[in-house]
Amino acid sequence: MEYVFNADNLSKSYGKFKALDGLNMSVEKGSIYGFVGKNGAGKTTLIRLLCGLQRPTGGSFELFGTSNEGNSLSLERRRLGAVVESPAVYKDMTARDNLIQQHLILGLPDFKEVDELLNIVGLADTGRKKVRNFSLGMKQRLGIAIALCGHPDLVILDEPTNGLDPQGIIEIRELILKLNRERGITFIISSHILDELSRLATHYGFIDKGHIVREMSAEELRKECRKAVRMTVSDTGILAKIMEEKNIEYKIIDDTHADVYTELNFSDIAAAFASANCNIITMEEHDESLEAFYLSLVGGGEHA
Amino acid sequence: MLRILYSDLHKIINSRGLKFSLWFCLIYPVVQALVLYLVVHTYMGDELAGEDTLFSYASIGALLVSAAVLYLTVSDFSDGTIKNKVINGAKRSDIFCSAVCGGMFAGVLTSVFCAAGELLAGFIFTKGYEILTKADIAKYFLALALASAAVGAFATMLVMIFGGSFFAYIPGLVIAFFFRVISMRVADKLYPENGVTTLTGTRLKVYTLYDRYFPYAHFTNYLRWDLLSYVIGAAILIAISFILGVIIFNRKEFK
Repeated sequence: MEYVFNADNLSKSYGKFKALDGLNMSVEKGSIYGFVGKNGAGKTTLIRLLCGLQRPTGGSFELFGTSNEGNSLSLERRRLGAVVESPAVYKDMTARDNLIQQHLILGLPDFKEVDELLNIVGLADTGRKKVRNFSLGMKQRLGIAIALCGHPDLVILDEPTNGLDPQGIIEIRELILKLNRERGITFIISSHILDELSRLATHYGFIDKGHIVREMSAEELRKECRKAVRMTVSDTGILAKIMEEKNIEYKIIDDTHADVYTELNFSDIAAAFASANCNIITMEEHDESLEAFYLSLVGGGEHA
Repeated sequence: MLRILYSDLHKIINSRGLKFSLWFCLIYPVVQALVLYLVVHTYMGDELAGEDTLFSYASIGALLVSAAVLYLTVSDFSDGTIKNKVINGAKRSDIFCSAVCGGMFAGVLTSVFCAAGELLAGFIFTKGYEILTKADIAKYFLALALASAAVGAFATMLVMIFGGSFFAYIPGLVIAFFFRVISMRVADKLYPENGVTTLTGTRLKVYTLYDRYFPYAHFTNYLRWDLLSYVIGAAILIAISFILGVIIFNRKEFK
């Protein structure tokens, strides 16, 4: 497995406050990594370290296989594009001039891809309009276009759908999926909108109090969050026996509760339980959303 | 570094704030000369000499350059474009040096536009230069351009060091104002209106050194020292700005 980013026991302190506390994390090449955490959990701090805006106080990380402890990391950062917190745009310039400016900064030989990038993010018709007069969504799309200059291998987006209207959110989502699919760009996306993230991410990292609580693939998360029938019975031992016999997937929660993951024929099940002398007390549909799963991981009701 | 410098200059030329400053530099001396002309011509029946118009920039130059640089560099921080350069793997020393060069460029550009405004005012409202030759005027504007470049470099260094925080807005302008007051006091002591200076010993040496080599003191109506002194003074402040700034900026943590 090839990784574009690996963090090993990474720490960052501001005085006595530990923003990152022994964080371990891996981002697979070609993935869309959803980075989930509460406000102050350490998401933006990690992104700042990754982007070279701040230095870690402990541990280390590798970007494209190059350690942060050497001197060659700045070269690898040229394969990186990012929109951290707000899009980095020159407000007195047009969208086109902003992309030309980014080409100059990166030292790219020509401006051929400028028009293509404007088309990709849907800003081709902005003409001589200055970025100062753009809507938030247009600035966000321009920020992404700037991050895409020079064909980066990794793009980091910090809250990319912040302030966007529903149409804008859909456009950004489709853009990310398209770029990931067609150009093989790896994305790290931090977002508070978990439902939105669940439509994009192929991998997840849940961060709380400065360390990763759990890393998992979208497939693993789907298994954890999928729909189930939560059954309350008099004996889950008997339930297990019946489910094994009927080849039905299930998970025992405790002595009286279990989740069953297949559509059930209630008459059959009721008859089986009756013949095994086990009472079914309740049966209800149980849907664990990403949000609920996240809260169960970090154990809090604060805003995610 | 050159590609970053090129992009920075591209940004400066497109900056709305700088364009506003340059228009101000061009118009301000003309308006000031017009007022002076109306007063002298209408009420005193006299005519202005070209030399009378060479004071507009001297009185506000350091503040004007500091304000222009502040606008340019602080907006770089608030718009995230400095961070963007770091993210894209540019060396911090390159980013810093390019910004300081940009500040110097903005300073020189400001002084050139003010010189143009003063020359225009002299052409329209005066009977011509009585004492100064063309060479003297050229030297005068060159000295002001050098001082503007040095102040531009120093003010940029301050913003780059404090950039990203509220304090970024304060030091450049406060320092420019502080040294404006100090320079006026030093000039009063060294060149009193009546008689000769009463300063002696170390105080005289310190005041003279400040007046001769410190660029903030070089925004004056006329040249007091040889051009080499102005060059040395500007070079020292620019060198300090680069060296000190690079050391601090390399360790800076961006929010």
